[in-house]
Amino acid sequence: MLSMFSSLFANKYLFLQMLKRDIEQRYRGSQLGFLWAFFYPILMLLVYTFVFGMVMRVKWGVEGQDNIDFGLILFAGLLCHSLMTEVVTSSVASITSNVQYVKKVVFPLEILALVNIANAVFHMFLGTLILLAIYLISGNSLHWTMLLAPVVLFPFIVFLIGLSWFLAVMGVYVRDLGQIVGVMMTVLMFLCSIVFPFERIPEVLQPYVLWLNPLTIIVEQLRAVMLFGQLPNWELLGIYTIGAFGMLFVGTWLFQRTRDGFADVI
Amino acid sequence: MVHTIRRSRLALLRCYGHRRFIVTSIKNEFVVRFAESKLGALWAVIHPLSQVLVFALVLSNVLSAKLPGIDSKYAYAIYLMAGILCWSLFAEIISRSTRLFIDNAGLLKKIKFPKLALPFIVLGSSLFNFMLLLIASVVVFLFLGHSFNLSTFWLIPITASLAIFSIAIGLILGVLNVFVRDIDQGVPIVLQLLFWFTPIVYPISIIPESYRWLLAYNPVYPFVDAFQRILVNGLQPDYEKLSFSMIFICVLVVIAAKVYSSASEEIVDVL
Repeated sequence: MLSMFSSLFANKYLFLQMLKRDIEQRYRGSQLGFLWAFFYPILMLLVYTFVFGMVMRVKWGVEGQDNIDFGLILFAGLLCHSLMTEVVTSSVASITSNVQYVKKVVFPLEILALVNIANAVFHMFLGTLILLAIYLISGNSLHWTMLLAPVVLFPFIVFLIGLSWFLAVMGVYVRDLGQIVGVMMTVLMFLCSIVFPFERIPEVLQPYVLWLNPLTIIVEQLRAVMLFGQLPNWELLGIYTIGAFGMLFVGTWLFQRTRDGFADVI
Repeated sequence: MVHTIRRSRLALLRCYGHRRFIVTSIKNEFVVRFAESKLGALWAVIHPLSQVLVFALVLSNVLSAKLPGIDSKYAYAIYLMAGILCWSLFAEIISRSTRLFIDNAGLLKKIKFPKLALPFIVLGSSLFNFMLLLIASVVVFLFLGHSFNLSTFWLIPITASLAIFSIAIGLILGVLNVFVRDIDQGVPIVLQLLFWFTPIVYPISIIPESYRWLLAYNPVYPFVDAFQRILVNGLQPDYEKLSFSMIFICVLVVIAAKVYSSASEEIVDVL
């Protein structure tokens, strides 16, 4: 497992170049260019606030949190969801769409997934800046617990690294995976506490939503530290971290085991 | 104007000459989709159906408001399905035709064929996907004990006008996208916005009165409304709402013809 990460260290220059290229490529040719990276989250924030806040009138009726805009609560959840969507969709195709790296040259294939994650994390970081800006503009003051946000996100990213290696392998063998994953991400968005509070989910589903949806715990803890000024629920986060390392282990193991066969399959 | 009409007629005639090419391309697309993945074109059905399932499962709880007009316990699921059926045709045509010329840049540069054949291919295969989804929805409706009446046949002209409406917008966007690539970034966002601003997932009755006037500016709403009236309530479409859309469609077609004919020569050079 360590060899996967020491490879990142050895190829750090390559990694950074690919990351830069991927970010630039996304906005290449458009007039507004990089500004789109800011537009997208702001527009999404507006839509979901309108639909779920004003039309469906979802309320986060938790005590002492009335002053925090519905939109911000929503946004914190959406940030996590779009991070995962980006990682998942790009990693499914990370091997199959880079045939030249698999077949023609000796290339550290494990880097591809890490580049995708770094790209997605970078966009999430921009989103977080917007979140904080709106948070401050609407007259709130920052909580010191905000500093714990990286602690909350760490297990999530560990989980995503494992997942993306896992999906990169599965993407080679299961051709419908891209479609399945698209459907899954919609399911994960609505069977989660992103657009409405956890308590509004049908009670029968609640335990499944909490333990089977990898977003729920993270979304809840991220809101706690960033918006409500609360400490994270260490117990949930601890269990999650164990699970995340489990996923990392499975992903790494599977990737190392199957990587030599990629060239024969694609 | 006369110039535009003459050129459009010529372009359409040339497409007619290439009708076999269009038909084989549509067929080919499906063959390729099944070759690439096991369930192939069926994903065009599975995706919207699973969306309906998730929304029905989760949001029927959140949306405490009941739907007026029918009392079936599956009313919400049927309502959702009707809306998503309509939306998926619109969204598929728009998002595919936006990237039409860009994605086929290689083809356009190398082979001589009428460019206008490309939107017809998109139209054909999107309508085919729509038919698959329609059949699946009808099966689900019957399964849920929902019945149909004669007004169901209204779906034919409504779908046809929706398709023309969508392809006209799509063609305009597709041409502009060749020159201004920002369209490519903007269209998915606008589609998302529009999806949520259209009463598909929620009934119109729960929109606060103060925001309801916004719907008059939603060009997709008359179609979604017609689908819902026909499939959910078994009523005829609302002629008043649609008559305005019909005029709008005519204007769009003229604009599309104008945009296309004035840019068609440059497209290949810019790509």
